[in-house]
Amino acid sequence: MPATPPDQPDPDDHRDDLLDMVADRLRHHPAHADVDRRARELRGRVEALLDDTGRRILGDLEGAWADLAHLHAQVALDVGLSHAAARRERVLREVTEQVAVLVADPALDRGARLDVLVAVGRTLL
Amino acid sequence: VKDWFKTIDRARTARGDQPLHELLIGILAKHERRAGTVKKILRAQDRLRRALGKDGVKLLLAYESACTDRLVSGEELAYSLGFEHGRAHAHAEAVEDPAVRTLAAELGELLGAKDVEDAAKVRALAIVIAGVAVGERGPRP
Repeated sequence: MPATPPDQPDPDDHRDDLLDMVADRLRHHPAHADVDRRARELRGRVEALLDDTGRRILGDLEGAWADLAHLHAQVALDVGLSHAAARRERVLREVTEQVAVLVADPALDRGARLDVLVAVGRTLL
Repeated sequence: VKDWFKTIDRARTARGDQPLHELLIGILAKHERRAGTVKKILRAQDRLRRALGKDGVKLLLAYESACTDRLVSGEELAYSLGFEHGRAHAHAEAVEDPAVRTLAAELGELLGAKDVEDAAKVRALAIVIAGVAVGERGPRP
């Protein structure tokens, strides 16, 4: 695979930055903070019932949940980005098609031009 | 970050499209890494259930439920952040797009024209604005 040129941002680095941002936002998100506090509290109560072996297994379980949450966040971030890109493509394509009507016929009268603008509004809906 | 996840999920559901959580689960189900991690979770759960008494198992289940809630909350925020980031990028690109520039110029010219009735100007403007507003509220990804 060719290396990313130094002047081009690496998409994976960028995604990692966004994932860091997700983690940071989560820390400051009240609803998430509540559920996180609850999970930690319950974990502590389960831990208190276990011996050393049980605590090690609980640690593994916690690690696996963290991996799973990271993977889910990664996929959700990618889907969010791709949905925004799909929307951008759709809107630009439809606006371009409508505007092409205006550009193609400079003699189009005022009423017809207004109709095209109305059509643009409708395609955005 | 705006809660794009809920906004778009509502719009998708209203259109009869697959809800976003289902869409994500469908994508995640194809990930080998996910399958391996879920196996680890199930194995650890099984061992812990055997080590804990009845009350302990109840606590473990409550802990697992909180872990699921935490995962879902992270998933929704990650989607919203991804969508918002992509949207900001789209806005920056759209400003440079020739079609958008032409549209803005046309709209500006028509609104300033003396030979167009005000009612017609308002109608055109209202529909374009409504289109943008609805696009903001419930876009179609």
